[in-house]
Amino acid sequence: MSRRLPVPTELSSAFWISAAGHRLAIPCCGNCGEHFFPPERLCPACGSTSWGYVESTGSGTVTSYTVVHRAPSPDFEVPYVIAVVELDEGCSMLTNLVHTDPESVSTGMSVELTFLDQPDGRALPVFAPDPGAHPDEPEKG
Amino acid sequence: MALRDVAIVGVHATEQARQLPHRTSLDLAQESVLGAIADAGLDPRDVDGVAADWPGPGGRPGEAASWARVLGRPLNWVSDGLLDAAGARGVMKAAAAISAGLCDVAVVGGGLAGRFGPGQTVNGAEDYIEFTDVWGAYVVPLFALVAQGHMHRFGTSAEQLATVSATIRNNGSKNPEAVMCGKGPYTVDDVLASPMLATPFHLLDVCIAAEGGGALVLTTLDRARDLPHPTIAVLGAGMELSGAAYASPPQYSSVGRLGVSASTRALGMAGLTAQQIDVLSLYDPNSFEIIRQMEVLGLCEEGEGGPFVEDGNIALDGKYPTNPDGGCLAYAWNGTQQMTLKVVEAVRQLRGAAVNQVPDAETAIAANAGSAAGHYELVVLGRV
Repeated sequence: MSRRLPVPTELSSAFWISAAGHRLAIPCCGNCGEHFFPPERLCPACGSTSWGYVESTGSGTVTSYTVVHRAPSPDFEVPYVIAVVELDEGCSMLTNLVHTDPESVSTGMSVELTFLDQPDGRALPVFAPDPGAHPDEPEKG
Repeated sequence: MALRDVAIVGVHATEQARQLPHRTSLDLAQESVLGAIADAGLDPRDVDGVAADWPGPGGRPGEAASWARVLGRPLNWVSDGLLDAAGARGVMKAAAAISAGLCDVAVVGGGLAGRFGPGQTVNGAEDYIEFTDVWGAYVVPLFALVAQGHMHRFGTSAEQLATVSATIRNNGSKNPEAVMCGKGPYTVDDVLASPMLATPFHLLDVCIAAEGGGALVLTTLDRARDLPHPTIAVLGAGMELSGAAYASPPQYSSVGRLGVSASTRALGMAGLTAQQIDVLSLYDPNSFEIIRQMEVLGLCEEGEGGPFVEDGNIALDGKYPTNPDGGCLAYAWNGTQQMTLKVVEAVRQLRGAAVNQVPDAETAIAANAGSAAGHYELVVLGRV
Protein backbone atom coordinates (compact mmCIF):
# COMPACT_ATOMS: atom_id res chain seq x y z
CA MET A 1 0.00 0.00 0.00
CA SER A 2 1.40 3.38 -0.89
CA ARG A 3 -0.19 6.49 0.40
CA ARG A 4 -0.08 10.06 -0.77
CA LEU A 5 2.84 11.76 0.94
CA PRO A 6 3.20 15.42 1.80
CA VAL A 7 5.21 17.91 -0.20
CA PRO A 8 7.79 18.96 2.40
CA THR A 9 7.90 22.63 3.32
CA GLU A 10 10.89 24.68 4.42
CA LEU A 11 9.81 23.85 7.96
CA SER A 12 9.44 20.12 7.48
CA SER A 13 12.04 19.04 4.92
CA ALA A 14 14.57 18.12 7.63
CA PHE A 15 11.88 16.00 9.31
CA TRP A 16 11.28 13.97 6.15
CA ILE A 17 15.00 13.62 5.37
CA SER A 18 15.57 12.27 8.89
CA ALA A 19 12.59 9.95 8.58
CA ALA A 20 14.01 8.50 5.37
CA GLY A 21 17.05 7.56 7.47
CA HIS A 22 14.81 6.05 10.14
CA ARG A 23 15.25 8.84 12.65
CA LEU A 24 12.40 10.81 14.20
CA ALA A 25 13.39 14.47 14.26
CA ILE A 26 11.34 16.84 16.38
CA PRO A 27 11.69 20.60 16.81
CA CYS A 28 13.42 21.70 20.02
CA CYS A 29 13.66 25.36 20.95
CA GLY A 30 17.18 26.66 21.44
CA ASN A 31 15.86 29.44 23.62
CA CYS A 32 13.51 27.75 26.08
CA GLY A 33 14.13 24.04 25.48
CA GLU A 34 10.52 23.25 24.52
CA HIS A 35 9.96 20.29 22.22
CA PHE A 36 7.00 20.81 19.93
CA PHE A 37 5.20 19.28 16.99
CA PRO A 38 4.23 19.90 14.22
CA PRO A 39 7.01 22.27 13.17
CA GLU A 40 6.10 25.93 12.91
CA ARG A 41 8.14 29.06 12.41
CA LEU A 42 7.99 30.33 15.98
CA CYS A 43 8.36 28.21 19.09
CA PRO A 44 4.78 27.98 20.47
CA ALA A 45 6.12 28.29 24.03
CA CYS A 46 8.36 31.36 23.77
CA GLY A 47 8.07 32.71 20.22
CA SER A 48 11.71 32.19 19.35
CA THR A 49 12.83 31.37 15.81
CA SER A 50 15.98 29.72 17.09
CA TRP A 51 14.81 26.14 17.14
CA GLY A 52 16.32 23.11 15.48
CA TYR A 53 15.53 19.48 14.98
CA VAL A 54 16.77 16.98 17.54
CA GLU A 55 16.41 13.23 17.38
CA SER A 56 13.63 11.80 19.54
CA THR A 57 14.29 8.75 21.66
CA GLY A 58 11.20 7.30 19.99
CA SER A 59 9.51 6.26 23.23
CA GLY A 60 6.04 7.44 23.93
CA THR A 61 2.58 6.81 25.30
CA VAL A 62 -0.76 6.50 23.51
CA THR A 63 -3.02 9.31 24.75
CA SER A 64 -5.88 8.65 22.32
CA TYR A 65 -6.57 6.36 19.40
CA THR A 66 -9.18 5.23 16.93
CA VAL A 67 -9.46 2.05 14.89
CA VAL A 68 -10.41 3.10 11.37
CA HIS A 69 -12.63 0.73 9.41
CA ARG A 70 -13.48 3.09 6.57
CA ALA A 71 -10.48 4.65 4.89
CA PRO A 72 -10.47 8.00 3.11
CA SER A 73 -8.90 6.33 0.07
CA PRO A 74 -8.03 2.81 -1.15
CA ASP A 75 -4.41 3.54 -0.20
CA PHE A 76 -5.12 2.50 3.35
CA GLU A 77 -5.79 -1.10 4.27
CA VAL A 78 -8.44 -1.36 6.96
CA PRO A 79 -8.57 -1.70 9.84
CA TYR A 80 -5.74 0.59 10.83
CA VAL A 81 -5.01 2.54 13.96
CA ILE A 82 -4.59 6.32 14.18
CA ALA A 83 -3.20 7.42 17.52
CA VAL A 84 -2.00 10.46 19.34
CA VAL A 85 1.37 9.56 20.83
CA GLU A 86 2.91 11.71 23.51
CA LEU A 87 6.66 11.40 23.13
CA ASP A 88 8.81 11.17 26.22
CA GLU A 89 10.18 14.59 25.21
CA GLY A 90 6.73 16.02 26.01
CA CYS A 91 5.17 16.81 22.64
CA SER A 92 2.39 14.88 20.93
CA MET A 93 2.07 13.74 17.35
CA LEU A 94 -0.57 12.07 15.25
CA THR A 95 0.65 8.77 13.86
CA ASN A 96 -0.27 5.17 13.12
CA LEU A 97 0.16 2.16 15.38
CA VAL A 98 1.42 -0.93 13.58
CA HIS A 99 2.40 -4.51 14.36
CA THR A 100 -0.50 -4.86 16.77
CA ASP A 101 -4.02 -6.22 16.91
CA PRO A 102 -6.16 -3.05 16.78
CA GLU A 103 -8.39 -4.55 19.46
CA SER A 104 -5.45 -4.69 21.88
CA VAL A 105 -4.64 -0.99 21.69
CA SER A 106 -5.37 0.99 24.82
CA THR A 107 -4.95 4.51 26.11
CA GLY A 108 -1.80 4.77 28.19
CA MET A 109 0.03 1.94 26.48
CA SER A 110 3.76 2.38 25.92
CA VAL A 111 4.90 2.43 22.32
CA GLU A 112 8.18 2.50 20.47
CA LEU A 113 9.14 4.13 17.20
CA THR A 114 9.34 2.13 13.99
CA PHE A 115 9.17 3.07 10.33
CA LEU A 116 7.04 2.30 7.31
CA ASP A 117 9.24 2.50 4.23
CA GLN A 118 7.58 4.18 1.27
CA PRO A 119 8.14 3.48 -2.44
CA ASP A 120 9.73 6.89 -3.02
CA GLY A 121 12.50 6.22 -0.51
CA ARG A 122 10.91 8.14 2.28
CA ALA A 123 9.67 6.54 5.47
CA LEU A 124 6.88 7.28 7.89
CA PRO A 125 7.58 7.34 11.62
CA VAL A 126 4.94 5.13 13.23
CA PHE A 127 4.73 3.30 16.52
CA ALA A 128 4.37 -0.25 17.78
CA PRO A 129 3.69 -1.59 21.25
CA ASP A 130 6.77 -1.51 23.42
CA PRO A 131 7.50 -5.24 23.92
CA GLY A 132 9.25 -4.47 27.20
CA ALA A 133 6.16 -2.84 28.63
CA HIS A 134 3.89 -5.86 28.24
CA PRO A 135 6.03 -8.88 29.10
CA ASP A 136 2.99 -11.14 29.41
CA GLU A 137 1.69 -10.38 25.94
CA PRO A 138 3.58 -11.66 22.93
CA GLU A 139 3.87 -9.03 20.23
CA LYS A 140 1.29 -9.62 17.57
CA GLY A 141 2.10 -9.33 13.92
CA MET B 1 -26.44 50.04 19.89
CA ALA B 2 -25.39 46.66 21.19
CA LEU B 3 -25.66 43.21 19.69
CA ARG B 4 -29.08 42.76 21.34
CA ASP B 5 -30.40 45.73 19.35
CA VAL B 6 -30.12 43.60 16.22
CA ALA B 7 -32.72 41.06 15.06
CA ILE B 8 -32.88 38.20 12.61
CA VAL B 9 -35.82 39.11 10.41
CA GLY B 10 -35.59 36.74 7.46
CA VAL B 11 -34.60 33.12 6.95
CA HIS B 12 -34.58 30.76 4.01
CA ALA B 13 -33.49 27.19 3.48
CA THR B 14 -33.40 25.62 0.03
CA GLU B 15 -34.12 22.00 -0.69
CA GLN B 16 -31.44 19.78 0.86
CA ALA B 17 -30.43 16.44 -0.61
CA ARG B 18 -27.46 14.15 -0.81
CA GLN B 19 -27.01 15.40 -4.35
CA LEU B 20 -28.73 18.18 -6.26
CA PRO B 21 -27.62 17.51 -9.83
CA HIS B 22 -30.17 19.99 -11.19
CA ARG B 23 -28.80 22.85 -9.09
CA THR B 24 -25.60 24.92 -8.96
CA SER B 25 -23.95 26.48 -5.93
CA LEU B 26 -24.74 29.95 -7.28
CA ASP B 27 -28.36 29.07 -7.95
CA LEU B 28 -28.71 27.76 -4.37
CA ALA B 29 -26.93 30.79 -2.90
CA GLN B 30 -29.12 33.21 -4.86
CA GLU B 31 -32.33 31.39 -3.94
CA SER B 32 -31.19 31.50 -0.31
CA VAL B 33 -30.27 35.17 -0.20
CA LEU B 34 -33.27 36.40 -2.18
CA GLY B 35 -35.57 34.01 -0.31
CA ALA B 36 -34.43 35.28 3.08
CA ILE B 37 -34.89 38.90 1.96
CA ALA B 38 -38.42 38.09 0.76
CA ASP B 39 -39.15 36.25 4.02
CA ALA B 40 -38.13 39.40 5.87
CA GLY B 41 -40.65 41.42 3.85
CA LEU B 42 -37.81 43.49 2.42
CA ASP B 43 -36.67 44.42 -1.06
CA PRO B 44 -33.16 43.41 -2.28
CA ARG B 45 -32.34 47.13 -2.50
CA ASP B 46 -32.88 47.40 1.25
CA VAL B 47 -29.83 45.21 1.88
CA ASP B 48 -26.56 47.13 2.23
CA GLY B 49 -24.43 44.58 4.09
CA VAL B 50 -23.35 41.20 2.75
CA ALA B 51 -21.61 38.28 4.40
CA ALA B 52 -22.78 35.80 1.79
CA ASP B 53 -20.72 33.36 -0.20
CA TRP B 54 -20.36 34.04 -3.92
CA PRO B 55 -19.42 30.77 -5.61
CA GLY B 56 -19.48 32.13 -9.17
CA PRO B 57 -19.66 31.89 -12.13
CA GLY B 58 -19.88 35.60 -12.80
CA GLY B 59 -18.80 38.23 -10.36
CA ARG B 60 -15.66 37.05 -8.65
CA PRO B 61 -15.72 33.78 -6.69
CA GLY B 62 -15.25 34.37 -2.97
CA GLU B 63 -15.83 38.12 -3.21
CA ALA B 64 -18.98 39.20 -1.39
CA ALA B 65 -19.12 42.47 -3.33
CA SER B 66 -20.29 40.34 -6.27
CA TRP B 67 -23.72 40.50 -4.65
CA ALA B 68 -24.05 44.24 -5.40
CA ARG B 69 -25.34 43.54 -8.91
CA VAL B 70 -27.86 41.01 -7.61
CA LEU B 71 -29.13 43.38 -4.95
CA GLY B 72 -29.15 46.31 -7.38
CA ARG B 73 -27.21 48.70 -5.21
CA PRO B 74 -23.75 49.51 -3.87
CA LEU B 75 -22.89 47.89 -0.55
CA ASN B 76 -21.88 49.55 2.70
CA TRP B 77 -20.36 46.51 4.38
CA VAL B 78 -19.05 43.12 3.26
CA SER B 79 -17.34 40.20 4.92
CA ASP B 80 -15.35 37.85 2.70
CA GLY B 81 -14.47 34.34 3.71
CA LEU B 82 -16.42 31.11 3.69
CA LEU B 83 -16.79 30.68 7.45
CA ASP B 84 -17.83 34.29 7.96
CA ALA B 85 -20.63 33.83 5.42
CA ALA B 86 -22.61 31.34 7.47
CA GLY B 87 -24.28 30.51 10.72
CA ALA B 88 -23.51 31.86 14.14
CA ARG B 89 -20.27 33.47 13.04
CA GLY B 90 -22.03 35.24 10.19
CA VAL B 91 -24.80 36.38 12.54
CA MET B 92 -22.43 37.80 15.13
CA LYS B 93 -20.32 39.59 12.54
CA ALA B 94 -23.31 41.04 10.72
CA ALA B 95 -24.95 42.01 14.02
CA ALA B 96 -21.72 43.64 15.14
CA ALA B 97 -21.58 45.62 11.90
CA ILE B 98 -25.22 46.73 12.21
CA SER B 99 -24.88 47.66 15.88
CA ALA B 100 -21.73 49.63 15.07
CA GLY B 101 -23.69 51.57 12.48
CA LEU B 102 -21.71 50.27 9.50
CA CYS B 103 -24.77 49.00 7.64
CA ASP B 104 -28.53 48.76 8.15
CA VAL B 105 -29.63 45.43 6.70
CA ALA B 106 -27.26 42.50 6.24
CA VAL B 107 -27.59 39.10 4.64
CA VAL B 108 -25.62 35.99 5.57
CA GLY B 109 -25.64 32.73 3.63
CA GLY B 110 -24.79 30.73 0.54
CA GLY B 111 -25.22 27.35 -1.09
CA LEU B 112 -23.36 24.30 -2.28
CA ALA B 113 -23.98 21.79 -5.07
CA GLY B 114 -21.93 19.45 -7.19
CA ARG B 115 -19.27 18.59 -4.68
CA PHE B 116 -20.12 15.31 -3.02
CA GLY B 117 -20.39 11.79 -4.32
CA PRO B 118 -23.13 9.42 -3.22
CA GLY B 119 -22.96 8.06 0.31
CA GLN B 120 -19.94 10.06 1.35
CA THR B 121 -19.53 10.79 5.02
CA VAL B 122 -18.44 14.27 5.82
CA ASN B 123 -14.82 14.76 4.93
CA GLY B 124 -12.27 17.20 6.24
CA ALA B 125 -10.53 20.10 4.64
CA GLU B 126 -10.03 19.85 0.91
CA ASP B 127 -6.38 20.78 1.05
CA TYR B 128 -3.81 18.22 2.13
CA ILE B 129 -2.67 18.71 5.72
CA GLU B 130 0.91 17.54 6.10
CA PHE B 131 0.92 15.85 9.49
CA THR B 132 -2.72 14.75 9.42
CA ASP B 133 -3.70 13.29 6.05
CA VAL B 134 -0.57 11.16 5.85
CA TRP B 135 -1.89 8.94 8.66
CA GLY B 136 -5.18 8.26 6.92
CA ALA B 137 -6.90 10.77 9.17
CA TYR B 138 -10.06 12.57 8.10
CA VAL B 139 -12.87 14.19 9.98
CA VAL B 140 -14.56 11.04 11.34
CA PRO B 141 -11.43 9.52 12.98
CA LEU B 142 -10.20 12.95 14.05
CA PHE B 143 -13.43 13.60 15.96
CA ALA B 144 -13.23 10.01 17.17
CA LEU B 145 -9.94 10.77 18.93
CA VAL B 146 -11.73 13.41 21.03
CA ALA B 147 -14.69 11.11 21.70
CA GLN B 148 -12.41 8.25 22.69
CA GLY B 149 -10.68 10.52 25.20
CA HIS B 150 -14.03 11.36 26.79
CA MET B 151 -15.04 7.70 26.95
CA HIS B 152 -11.72 6.75 28.51
CA ARG B 153 -11.86 9.50 31.13
CA PHE B 154 -15.50 9.38 32.08
CA GLY B 155 -16.77 5.96 31.05
CA THR B 156 -19.07 7.39 28.42
CA SER B 157 -20.56 4.45 26.54
CA ALA B 158 -21.25 3.59 22.92
CA GLU B 159 -24.93 3.25 23.95
CA GLN B 160 -24.95 6.84 25.20
CA LEU B 161 -23.49 8.05 21.91
CA ALA B 162 -26.07 6.02 20.02
CA THR B 163 -28.83 7.55 22.15
CA VAL B 164 -27.92 10.97 20.76
CA SER B 165 -27.94 9.70 17.23
CA ALA B 166 -31.24 7.85 17.54
CA THR B 167 -32.92 10.82 19.22
CA ILE B 168 -31.86 13.41 16.65
CA ARG B 169 -32.32 11.10 13.66
CA ASN B 170 -35.86 10.35 14.80
CA ASN B 171 -36.57 14.09 14.87
CA GLY B 172 -35.34 14.35 11.30
CA SER B 173 -37.38 11.37 10.27
CA LYS B 174 -40.49 13.54 10.79
CA ASN B 175 -39.10 16.64 9.02
CA PRO B 176 -40.26 16.79 5.39
CA GLU B 177 -37.29 19.03 4.51
CA ALA B 178 -34.77 16.55 5.93
CA VAL B 179 -32.40 14.59 3.72
CA MET B 180 -33.24 11.56 5.88
CA CYS B 181 -36.99 12.23 6.07
CA GLY B 182 -38.90 8.99 6.53
CA LYS B 183 -35.78 7.02 7.46
CA GLY B 184 -36.07 5.25 10.77
CA PRO B 185 -37.23 5.37 13.46
CA TYR B 186 -33.93 4.22 14.88
CA THR B 187 -33.21 2.52 18.16
CA VAL B 188 -29.93 2.58 20.05
CA ASP B 189 -29.39 -0.99 18.86
CA ASP B 190 -29.89 0.07 15.23
CA VAL B 191 -27.12 2.63 15.60
CA LEU B 192 -24.81 0.12 17.28
CA ALA B 193 -25.55 -2.45 14.56
CA SER B 194 -24.58 -0.09 11.74
CA PRO B 195 -21.08 -0.53 10.26
CA MET B 196 -18.15 0.77 12.28
CA LEU B 197 -16.36 3.68 10.59
CA ALA B 198 -13.77 4.63 13.19
CA THR B 199 -14.12 3.55 16.80
CA PRO B 200 -16.29 4.63 18.58
CA PHE B 201 -18.31 5.95 15.62
CA HIS B 202 -20.72 3.74 13.70
CA LEU B 203 -22.18 4.84 10.39
CA LEU B 204 -25.34 6.10 12.10
CA ASP B 205 -23.27 8.06 14.65
CA VAL B 206 -22.09 10.46 11.95
CA CYS B 207 -23.77 12.68 9.42
CA ILE B 208 -23.68 12.26 5.70
CA ALA B 209 -22.61 14.91 3.21
CA ALA B 210 -25.40 16.67 1.34
CA GLU B 211 -26.00 19.74 -0.76
CA GLY B 212 -28.19 22.78 -0.33
CA GLY B 213 -28.19 26.34 0.88
CA GLY B 214 -29.56 28.77 3.41
CA ALA B 215 -29.54 32.44 4.34
CA LEU B 216 -30.47 34.91 7.07
CA VAL B 217 -31.31 38.61 7.07
CA LEU B 218 -30.55 40.89 9.99
CA THR B 219 -31.44 44.48 10.77
CA THR B 220 -31.96 46.75 13.74
CA LEU B 221 -34.52 45.84 16.36
CA ASP B 222 -36.34 49.11 15.65
CA ARG B 223 -36.75 48.26 12.01
CA ALA B 224 -37.58 44.64 12.82
CA ARG B 225 -40.68 45.69 14.74
CA ASP B 226 -42.24 46.91 11.48
CA LEU B 227 -41.56 43.64 9.66
CA PRO B 228 -43.94 40.67 9.35
CA HIS B 229 -42.44 38.07 11.69
CA PRO B 230 -42.12 37.99 15.48
CA THR B 231 -38.96 39.86 16.48
CA ILE B 232 -36.02 37.57 17.22
CA ALA B 233 -33.12 39.44 18.83
CA VAL B 234 -29.46 38.45 18.97
CA LEU B 235 -29.15 38.41 22.76
CA GLY B 236 -25.57 37.20 22.97
CA ALA B 237 -22.76 35.66 20.98
CA GLY B 238 -19.27 34.28 21.30
CA MET B 239 -16.66 32.28 19.47
CA GLU B 240 -13.58 30.33 20.41
CA LEU B 241 -10.89 28.74 18.26
CA SER B 242 -8.02 26.47 19.27
CA GLY B 243 -5.91 26.91 16.16
CA ALA B 244 -5.82 26.08 12.49
CA ALA B 245 -8.22 23.29 11.54
CA TYR B 246 -6.75 19.80 11.88
CA ALA B 247 -3.14 21.02 12.06
CA SER B 248 -2.50 19.65 15.56
CA PRO B 249 -3.67 16.28 16.85
CA PRO B 250 -7.15 16.64 18.33
CA GLN B 251 -7.55 15.14 21.75
CA TYR B 252 -9.81 15.64 24.70
CA SER B 253 -7.11 17.15 26.90
CA SER B 254 -6.60 20.04 24.48
CA VAL B 255 -10.02 20.65 22.89
CA GLY B 256 -12.54 18.77 25.04
CA ARG B 257 -13.67 21.89 26.83
CA LEU B 258 -13.45 24.20 23.85
CA GLY B 259 -16.56 26.37 23.83
CA VAL B 260 -16.79 26.99 27.57
CA SER B 261 -15.46 30.51 27.32
CA ALA B 262 -17.51 31.31 24.19
CA SER B 263 -20.73 30.09 25.78
CA THR B 264 -19.98 31.83 29.08
CA ARG B 265 -19.52 35.04 27.14
CA ALA B 266 -22.64 34.57 25.01
CA LEU B 267 -24.93 33.58 27.88
CA GLY B 268 -23.50 36.32 30.08
CA MET B 269 -24.23 38.86 27.37
CA ALA B 270 -27.77 37.51 27.12
CA GLY B 271 -28.24 37.55 30.89
CA LEU B 272 -29.36 33.93 30.75
CA THR B 273 -28.18 30.59 32.06
CA ALA B 274 -28.01 27.56 29.79
CA GLN B 275 -30.85 26.08 31.84
CA GLN B 276 -33.10 28.94 30.72
CA ILE B 277 -32.71 28.11 27.04
CA ASP B 278 -35.86 26.55 25.56
CA VAL B 279 -34.45 24.95 22.43
CA LEU B 280 -30.96 24.04 21.24
CA SER B 281 -29.78 23.89 17.66
CA LEU B 282 -26.27 22.47 18.02
CA TYR B 283 -23.58 21.16 15.72
CA ASP B 284 -23.97 17.40 15.40
CA PRO B 285 -21.57 16.01 12.80
CA ASN B 286 -21.47 13.02 15.13
CA SER B 287 -23.25 11.81 18.22
CA PHE B 288 -20.43 12.59 20.62
CA GLU B 289 -20.27 16.27 19.79
CA ILE B 290 -23.72 16.74 21.37
CA ILE B 291 -22.58 15.08 24.61
CA ARG B 292 -19.55 17.36 24.67
CA GLN B 293 -21.67 20.46 24.08
CA MET B 294 -24.13 19.59 26.85
CA GLU B 295 -21.12 19.84 29.18
CA VAL B 296 -19.51 22.85 27.51
CA LEU B 297 -22.75 24.85 27.62
CA GLY B 298 -23.11 24.06 31.31
CA LEU B 299 -26.29 21.98 31.03
CA CYS B 300 -24.49 19.27 32.98
CA GLU B 301 -21.12 18.76 34.61
CA GLU B 302 -18.04 17.69 32.69
CA GLY B 303 -18.13 13.93 32.27
CA GLU B 304 -21.90 13.72 32.93
CA GLY B 305 -22.97 14.20 29.32
CA GLY B 306 -23.44 10.49 28.65
CA PRO B 307 -25.91 9.81 31.48
CA PHE B 308 -27.48 13.22 30.78
CA VAL B 309 -28.49 12.27 27.24
CA GLU B 310 -29.45 8.77 28.35
CA ASP B 311 -31.96 10.35 30.74
CA GLY B 312 -33.85 11.85 27.80
CA ASN B 313 -32.86 15.47 28.34
CA ILE B 314 -32.23 16.18 24.65
CA ALA B 315 -35.45 14.57 23.38
CA LEU B 316 -38.21 16.70 21.84
CA ASP B 317 -40.21 16.31 25.04
CA GLY B 318 -37.15 16.50 27.28
CA LYS B 319 -35.88 19.42 29.34
CA TYR B 320 -33.45 20.57 26.64
CA PRO B 321 -34.85 19.66 23.23
CA THR B 322 -31.91 19.54 20.85
CA ASN B 323 -31.98 19.68 17.06
CA PRO B 324 -35.72 19.20 16.55
CA ASP B 325 -35.13 19.51 12.78
CA GLY B 326 -32.93 16.43 12.75
CA GLY B 327 -29.67 18.37 12.74
CA CYS B 328 -26.72 17.46 10.58
CA LEU B 329 -27.36 13.81 11.38
CA ALA B 330 -30.69 13.72 9.56
CA TYR B 331 -31.73 17.15 8.24
CA ALA B 332 -28.63 18.30 6.37
CA TRP B 333 -24.90 18.81 6.43
CA ASN B 334 -24.11 20.76 3.28
CA GLY B 335 -20.63 22.19 3.73
CA THR B 336 -20.61 25.56 5.46
CA GLN B 337 -24.28 26.46 5.12
CA GLN B 338 -25.29 23.71 7.54
CA MET B 339 -24.13 26.35 10.03
CA THR B 340 -26.81 28.69 8.71
CA LEU B 341 -29.44 25.95 8.95
CA LYS B 342 -28.77 25.82 12.72
CA VAL B 343 -29.82 29.45 12.95
CA VAL B 344 -32.74 28.96 10.56
CA GLU B 345 -34.11 26.23 12.84
CA ALA B 346 -33.63 28.33 15.99
CA VAL B 347 -35.48 31.26 14.38
CA ARG B 348 -38.31 29.04 13.15
CA GLN B 349 -38.67 27.61 16.66
CA LEU B 350 -38.83 31.10 18.19
CA ARG B 351 -41.38 32.16 15.59
CA GLY B 352 -43.47 29.14 16.54
CA ALA B 353 -43.25 27.92 12.95
CA ALA B 354 -40.97 24.89 13.14
CA VAL B 355 -41.81 21.39 11.97
CA ASN B 356 -41.17 19.73 15.32
CA GLN B 357 -42.20 22.77 17.32
CA VAL B 358 -41.10 23.06 20.94
CA PRO B 359 -44.10 24.62 22.69
CA ASP B 360 -43.70 28.28 23.68
CA ALA B 361 -40.02 28.48 22.81
CA GLU B 362 -38.78 31.96 23.68
CA THR B 363 -35.01 31.47 23.84
CA ALA B 364 -32.67 29.41 21.72
CA ILE B 365 -29.01 28.70 21.16
CA ALA B 366 -27.71 28.10 17.67
CA ALA B 367 -24.17 26.78 17.70
CA ASN B 368 -21.61 25.82 15.08
CA ALA B 369 -18.39 23.99 15.63
CA GLY B 370 -16.10 21.67 13.80
CA SER B 371 -12.58 20.63 12.91
CA ALA B 372 -12.69 18.00 15.67
CA ALA B 373 -13.80 20.49 18.32
CA GLY B 374 -11.27 23.00 17.05
CA HIS B 375 -13.70 25.88 16.91
CA TYR B 376 -17.01 26.88 18.49
CA GLU B 377 -19.40 29.69 17.65
CA LEU B 378 -22.78 30.32 19.19
CA VAL B 379 -25.53 32.88 19.28
CA VAL B 380 -28.22 33.19 21.91
CA LEU B 381 -31.49 34.25 20.33
CA GLY B 382 -34.70 35.37 21.96
CA ARG B 383 -38.20 36.47 21.03
CA VAL B 384 -38.52 40.02 22.30
